Amino acid sequence: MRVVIMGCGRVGSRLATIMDAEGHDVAVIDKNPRSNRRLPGSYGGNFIVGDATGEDVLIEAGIKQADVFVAVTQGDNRSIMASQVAKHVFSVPKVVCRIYDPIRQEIFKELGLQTFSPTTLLARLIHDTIEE
Amino acid sequence: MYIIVVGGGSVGAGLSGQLVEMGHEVLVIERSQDRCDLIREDLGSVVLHGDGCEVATLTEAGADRADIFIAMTDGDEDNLVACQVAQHRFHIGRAIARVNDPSREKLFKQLGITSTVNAAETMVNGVLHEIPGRSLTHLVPFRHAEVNLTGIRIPSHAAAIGKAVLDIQLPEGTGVALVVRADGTPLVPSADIVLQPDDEVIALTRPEDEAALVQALTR
Repeated sequence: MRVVIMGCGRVGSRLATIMDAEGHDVAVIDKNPRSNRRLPGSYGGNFIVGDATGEDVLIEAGIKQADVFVAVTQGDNRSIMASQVAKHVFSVPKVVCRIYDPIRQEIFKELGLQTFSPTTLLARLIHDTIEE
Repeated sequence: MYIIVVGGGSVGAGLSGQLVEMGHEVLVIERSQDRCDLIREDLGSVVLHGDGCEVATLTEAGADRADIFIAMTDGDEDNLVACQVAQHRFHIGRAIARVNDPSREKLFKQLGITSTVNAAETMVNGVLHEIPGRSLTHLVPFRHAEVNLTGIRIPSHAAAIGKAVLDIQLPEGTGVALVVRADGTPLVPSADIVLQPDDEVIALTRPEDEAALVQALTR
């Protein structure tokens, strides 16, 4: 699979590393050129410096051939915008968007994005652990 | 009408001032406390400190009874998301977004934002209007009607000089709104308003009729 990941933070770099090790064709995009320090030496995929809400940057990352787009930035709105570009402009078959704000996550899920909120997930997980 | 404006920078605050003057009920949502204070000094208590993309803030703003929602921040992603939340969660009928990067205008349209204002295009047109030698300048686009308000400068050699503007054969559907003299005097077109060199004719026209309009007035 060809995977484009927006955001090379802890989650983005970890996901890129896993999928690269599994043999997938991975490209990570981040605004900060120094964020690639989170990728291990063994990482064989692409790393692109730029703003993934811009179509030119997405094209450079190979969005036109991508099977999956994942947005995991710190900014909910940037992730939402880039995910909608991937889905509606480039027709990427699978688009996954992390949205911290649970309410915004619900709204954009209703609007057809595959979303998840770590806030909700973690709260549920902690709750279940307490209840055990 | 109740109008919510997200973003109280120079554009948002300026716009809100005008809307208040027009007699509308206005609420500006602004993230910076300093800017909120400035707007409150200028316009009174029409400010809400908060994030205009957040449902909690918009609920506090009473967004469900708003008639128009305007996102005027300098962040395109914030404007897009704020408008989408306003339209889909609060069912506001009209959402207008400022688009800072012109290449994104199409995306905003595709995602159903009612209308967009392209800051760069508006500025470029404003500057071009001041440059001599251009026969036609776009002043205001009316996107839904597919017409533009345009300004046409009358050159000194034009055959139209000495004629009443109402007597000149213009493309069908084109309307002359105003004749502005070189010294800035605005004149409503009538039978006795005769064109002079360096007049600017302000006309509403469709894009496909622009060439014929320029021909009729400047040749």
